[in-house]
Parts: sequence; structure tokens; C-alpha cells
Amino acid sequence: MSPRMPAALKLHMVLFYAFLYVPILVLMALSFNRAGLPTVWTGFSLEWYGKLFSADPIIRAARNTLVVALASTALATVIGTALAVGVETRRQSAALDALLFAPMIIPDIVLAIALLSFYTALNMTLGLHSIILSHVVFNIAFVVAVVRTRMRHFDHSILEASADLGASEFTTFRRVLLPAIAPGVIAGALLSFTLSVDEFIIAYFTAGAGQGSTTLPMQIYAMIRFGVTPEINAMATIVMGVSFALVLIAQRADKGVFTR
Amino acid sequence: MGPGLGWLALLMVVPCGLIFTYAFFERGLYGGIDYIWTFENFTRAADPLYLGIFLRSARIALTATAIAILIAYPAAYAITRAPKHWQTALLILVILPFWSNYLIRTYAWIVMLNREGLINGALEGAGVIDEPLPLLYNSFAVVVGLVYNYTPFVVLAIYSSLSRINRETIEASEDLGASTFTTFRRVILPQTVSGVAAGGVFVFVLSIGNFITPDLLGGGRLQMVGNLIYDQFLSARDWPFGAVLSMFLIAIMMVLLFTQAVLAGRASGERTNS
Amino acid sequence: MTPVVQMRNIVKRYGSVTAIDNVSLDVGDNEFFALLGPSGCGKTTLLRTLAGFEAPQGGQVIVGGQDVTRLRPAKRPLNLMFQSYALFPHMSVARNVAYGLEMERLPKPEIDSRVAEVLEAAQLGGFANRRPDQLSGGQRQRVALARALVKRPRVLLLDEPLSALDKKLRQDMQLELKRLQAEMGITFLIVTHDQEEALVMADRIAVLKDGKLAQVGSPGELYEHPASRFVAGFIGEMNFVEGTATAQGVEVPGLGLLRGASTLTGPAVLAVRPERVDLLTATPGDGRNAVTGTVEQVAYHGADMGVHVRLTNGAVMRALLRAGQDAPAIGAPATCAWAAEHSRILPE
Repeated sequence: MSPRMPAALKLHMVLFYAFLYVPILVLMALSFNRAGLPTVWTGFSLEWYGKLFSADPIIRAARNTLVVALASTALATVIGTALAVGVETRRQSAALDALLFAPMIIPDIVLAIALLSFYTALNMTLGLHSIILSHVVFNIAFVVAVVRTRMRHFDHSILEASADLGASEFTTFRRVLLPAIAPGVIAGALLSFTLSVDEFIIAYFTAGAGQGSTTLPMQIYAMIRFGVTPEINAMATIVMGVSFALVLIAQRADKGVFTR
Repeated sequence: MGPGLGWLALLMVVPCGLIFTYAFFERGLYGGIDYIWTFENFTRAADPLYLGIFLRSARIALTATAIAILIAYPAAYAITRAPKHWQTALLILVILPFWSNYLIRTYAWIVMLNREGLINGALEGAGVIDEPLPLLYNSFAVVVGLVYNYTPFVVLAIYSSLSRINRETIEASEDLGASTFTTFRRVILPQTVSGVAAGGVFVFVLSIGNFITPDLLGGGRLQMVGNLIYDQFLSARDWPFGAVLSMFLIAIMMVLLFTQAVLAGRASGERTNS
Repeated sequence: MTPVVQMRNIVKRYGSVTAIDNVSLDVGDNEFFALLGPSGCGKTTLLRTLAGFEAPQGGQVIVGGQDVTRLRPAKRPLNLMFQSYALFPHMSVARNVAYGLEMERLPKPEIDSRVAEVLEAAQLGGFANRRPDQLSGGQRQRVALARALVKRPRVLLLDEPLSALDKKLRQDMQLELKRLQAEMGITFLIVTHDQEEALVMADRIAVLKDGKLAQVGSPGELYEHPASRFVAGFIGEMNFVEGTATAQGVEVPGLGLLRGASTLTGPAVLAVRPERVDLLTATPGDGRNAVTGTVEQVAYHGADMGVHVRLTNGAVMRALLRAGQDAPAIGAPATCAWAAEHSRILPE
């Protein structure tokens, strides 16, 4: 817009971005510090990364996280896309909107205890499967939100045009609707994968006892409670790197998925 | 649509309904539920001890909300004033940390704030202080953590309403003789109330029910509602009381969201009427 | 004239709002037919009912002798060109045009040759591999047209096809569409709110108002013999003088008897086109209708000049002067005169 920007505003912007990124960059830098401590730089080292990859519990937690994230993303993407298409092509309803919106805003601790109570009431054994079921709940909400936004940004008369040209409903879905919303579906899937990889509280409550179904965030939580250690810095750097990469890919897939 | 709605009904609506009913029963001797009808859980929640925790949570959440808005508004405004081709990049930079792991973002502030941490180290190195400041494990640290984690969303919300303002209404105000500040107060700010409300409600709701931030940055010494609920389920084993607390949390959230929806509705109503 | 499209007593309601109120209409084979009316008159709803996107509560749609009222859009022998063009954004021009033929499961060589042929006819030969977003508005319009025409429908429905184009291009496309329709021998049924567009292109026009048919006829009939004050005012420009109908014409308080062929009695309105009104300085002695007033405004248009005269009874009459005539001075007295045969006496 206007080319002139007051100096105070510029300064605020610089400080704001510093506030956002300095803590993250400090963590990343420390992960390469031989001493692993924030006070002194004792030289570049990959030692902490090496330690990370040789620790069995961490490798197992990473594998569990991957299983949970992949399964819940796959389920949520298929179900959420169908739901978004269904909602957008039918009459709007405020109650339905609220239901679809709710998992995004319910405090995660409340959803966590509700699900734990529910599984306990059913006498269900807890494990990776219960985490997956739980993660699908909020992942659906995010897929629906992204795909619905995408659906509102294309000309719906192309669906009628397809029908007018002789296509069946299934052909219209496959050849016109799906390609048109594909960027939204991909972005929604990437976001739910990221959310699932990072989710802690719900997994913590629904994982059940025992180490078998510990996920990476649960492992990180345990390590942080133990104290500041150089391994966490290394792990944090890897996890953030993966998240940032996924989010940037999602942004490329569906331009404006975060900013509309 | 069917499977999706079924999923949400079974794994969100039913569990929340279950919690709702638990609130009216007595706790079991060894955890769990005894199905004896009671209102005692509600009267217990009014106990000054728990009321105090609720009030403290609200105060901390409110402080975090106010600070987040004060930081976010000028930042969002600056982004709308930046050259057009930079704006998307600037916005992505704002939202990027938001999508990384919450635990790690919170942990980063332990590194920043602890006695041997970066801030104390820098201040001591500069000779400003002799003794490290107690920055961590208090309400200050919790507020910093909440502001850090949720400000990006407020920036987005305010940016989205700022960018929807018709540029010509600002020019019209200047043309009619208003100063930059008057233009901001009388033309820009009123058109962004709904964005500020949306962002503010988001920060408040997520802050008051937060568990991780008070747990890690408050060092367990500073309890908020989220920690209280956590304790009822995982250590005190008093599920009915935990259920009551969750219901209060949901009630606060719904009142705020409703208020915000009304505000947003009124703002858009004004826009279409004029 | 064999009707290729027959609409019988179509009724379409949305809740308590009646969008189409018992409309019956025939469209002849090889005809260029226009549905004309102000926005909200139901013309687009009627078109969408024909295409099969709206189900009427009552009535029948018959195309080529076959009742298609209950058929899905895909099964109807007519195609729609959408107002937004509705091009598939992820397909090239050629894929867009081929889409409808692929739905008919035609062999690939035939599809390819028909697509190439129609793209050539639409002057899109060099654009086959472009995406819609790489085309100009006029080119997109041609693609939409080609995509519908390649199916060789009995009837092509066009929903405000030219509304997204600028004025110059619109005028070119009006003639282009008329040429295409004549060459291809397909019935065109077009929806428009632009009366000039309808007059230029259509063989016949149906004027709709509030979901009802106001009048159906050729452009000349509608222009020269409007059946109602609404049609008279909607098509072209018209002067109206209100009064009481008698056997000789209309009796107007303050202006006397204005002559014209009349079959009405009671309150009525006399309508006369501005180009039929002459501007004189004195009352003519030839028995023409004459009313006096003062010149209030002169609008210069280039080819002609519009003069507003405030009549002695307070009404305003507009007269068109051809270019080259001297403009009267504002405030000068003037007499408006027209022959009785140009009066149209319509119910109030």
C-alpha cells in the first residue's frame, strides 16, 4: 500500500519478528553447541544428534508418532473431504457449522478427558489405536475447514456445466470437483499431519499406561520435565524443521490456506 | 457426509455429554464414578480455593490477551502498509512458528528465561544486574509463554479485517481534514473491531484452559484451571469434580464466542447498512 | 413454425415467492429467441428450468416433442452457456471442449476432429493447449460457446452471454452470435436484461415481468405496438401522458384531447416515442396533436439531440432532433407535435 511507513512502526515490526524467531533460533543454535549450554559457545558439534538417534525410546516414539499421524491423516482426509463437499453443496445450517468448528476450539484438555472417560466407560484398551481415533476428531475439523474455504473460492457453475455436458454425478466429482479442490485437500492433509505429529495432551490422556504407545511429544514432555538437556535442543530442531517444511508445502499447494 | 458426522457425534458429542453427566454423580472410592445423584461437585467448585484458581486463570488469560492485542495490532497494521508482494511472505513468517510443536515453543522460553538462560546471561554480561532475575516459574513466565504462542493468530485476525477496509475510506477521511491519528481512531479502528474480538477471544479461551504453559513455565507452583482439571483426572482421581471444572471452562468459552459472534454480526450489519 | 421448445404452464416457487407464474411459451426451430426483463423477473430461473437445474412445481417442458420435465440436465438435448462461462480451470481449452463429447463416449478420433473443427470455427485454433486463466474475456466467452456447440444440441441456452464483455466487444459478439446461429441452424434461446441486445439479435422476444409473460413478439412488434405501459417503457424510450381514454384518444387535464386510436375507456396513458415528436415554434395547422411548454434541458448525443420540454400541465416530454438542427434556447417556448397514428393508448 502506502510506501511511507513511520519509523516507530518499522521498529515495532523488527522487534515483533525478533520476538517470534529469537527463541527458536537460539534453540537451533544450541543444538549444535558442543557444551549444549546456553551460556558459552564451545564449538560446533553434531554429538547431540548422534545421541538422539541412538536412543531406543526416542526412535520408538518417533515411529509411534508417524503411525498415529499417517493413520489419522488418511482417515481424516477422506472423511473430512466428503463432509466438506456434502456441507457446501447442501443448505447451510448454523448447528452443523458449530459441530464442525467445535473440535478446533474446545480446550484440548477437555476433549482429552472426555475421550478418556468415553474409552474407559466402554472398557476399551488404550493404545495407539485410541490415539488415532482421537486425533481424527480434530483433524477432521481442520480438513473440513480448509476444503470448505477452497470450495467457496471456485465457481460452482462448473459443476452444473459438467452435468449439462452429460456427466454423471460420480464423473463430475472425479473429473471436475476433485481436481478443483485438490490443492485444498492436499493442504488439509498436510496440516492435519503436522497437527497430529505435534499433539500432546490428547495423546497423553488416551495412550494408556505403559511405554508401548508413547509418542514423540509425550517423550519430549518427559524430557523437558527432567530438565534442560542438549538432546531436547537437537530434537526440537528436527521437529521444527519437519513442521516448517510441511507447512510451507501446504502453503505452496493451496496459496492462501493460512491467509485468507 | 454420514461417516464424518457419525465420527464427530460418537467421539466428540457423546464423550462431552458423558462428562456432562459425570458432573452430577459422586466420585468412586478408588477413582471412577459412583452413580449416586449429587450437586456437591458444583458447591465444591465455589470453594474460595478453587474460585481463586479460576480468578487467577482469568487474570492471567486477560493479561495475555491484552498484551497480545497490543503487540499484534501495530504488527498487522505494519504488514498492510508493507509493499504488496511482501505481505504474503510476512504473513507466512508470522504463522510459521504457530504450526511448530507447542511444547518446543514453550521449552524455548525455559531456555530464554532460566537463571542461566539467555536473557539473564545477556543482562549480567552487560553489567546491568549482578544477580540473575527470577524470570521463570512465575506468572510473568506464563504470560510470556501464552503471548508468544498465541499472538500470531491475533495478527492474522486483525490483518484480515484491516485488509478488508476499503482504502478509499481512509483517503476520504484524510481528504475531509482528519489527522492520521483521528483517521485511525474514527475510521480504521471501528472497522477492525470484529478482527480484534476474534483474535482476543481466541487467546483468552486457549489461555484460560491451558495446561502446558502453566505446567512448564509456572513450574507446577502456579495452578490454572487446566492443571486443576488434569490433576482431577490423573492424580486426585476425582472425575466428577474434574467434569464440573471442564463444564465451567466450556461455559466461559461459549459465552465469549457468542459475544464475539454478536460483535462480528453487528460489524458486518453496519457495513451492509451503510 | 414447428416449436422445438414448448413450455406449458410452468410454475416455480421459492417458499412464498413465485419466481415463475404460469408461463407458457413456444420457441420455433432455428429461431433466435430472447427472454428479456429486468433483474429478478424470473428469466434466468426459466432458463435453468429448461436446462434442468431447477425443478418446477407445475407445468411441462417439452423439447423436440419429448417431455423432459423429469430428466436430469445430462439427459436433455439442450446445452447451457453459463453467465460465468463455468470453464473447468484445471483443463486446457481443448480438454474443456472435448469434455461433453467424452461423456457421449464417442471414439477418440471423432472427438479430436470435432474439437478441432469447432475451435477453428470459434477462431480459437491457436489456443487449444492454453488454460482458461491464460485467455482474455472474449476468448473465454468463445471457449464456453464452443464447448456447448460441439455437442450439437437441438437448442443452445445462453445466460447473459455478453454481460462480462466491454461495450465494443459486446457489439461485435452480438453480430457474431447471430451469424453462428444462422450458419449452424441451431435454436438459440438467450436471456438478457439489455433490451438493445435483444432487439439487435433476436427474431422474437418474450418480455417477462414479475415471473409473468408481459408480451411476446418480434422486435418490430414490441417496439411499435407495446401491449402495456411496462413493455412500452422497458423497450426503447417513451413519453407518457396520463389522462382519460375516449373513443377519439386521451383527454388530458390542461392539455385537451390528444388524438390516437383507442379501444379503451377510463384512466389511460398515451405513449409516443421521442423520435416521433417534432419541435415547433407555433401550433401546426395540419391537425396533428400539439402541446406547448418551455424548453428545460438539451442533451447533445452526437447523432441526435434530446430536448426536454416542460408542458403546461407540469409533465415532461422529450423530443429527438436530428444532428444539424439548431438547438433551442433553454427557457424558450416550444410546441411538441406528433401525428395521431403515432399515439399508443395503453391501460394505466
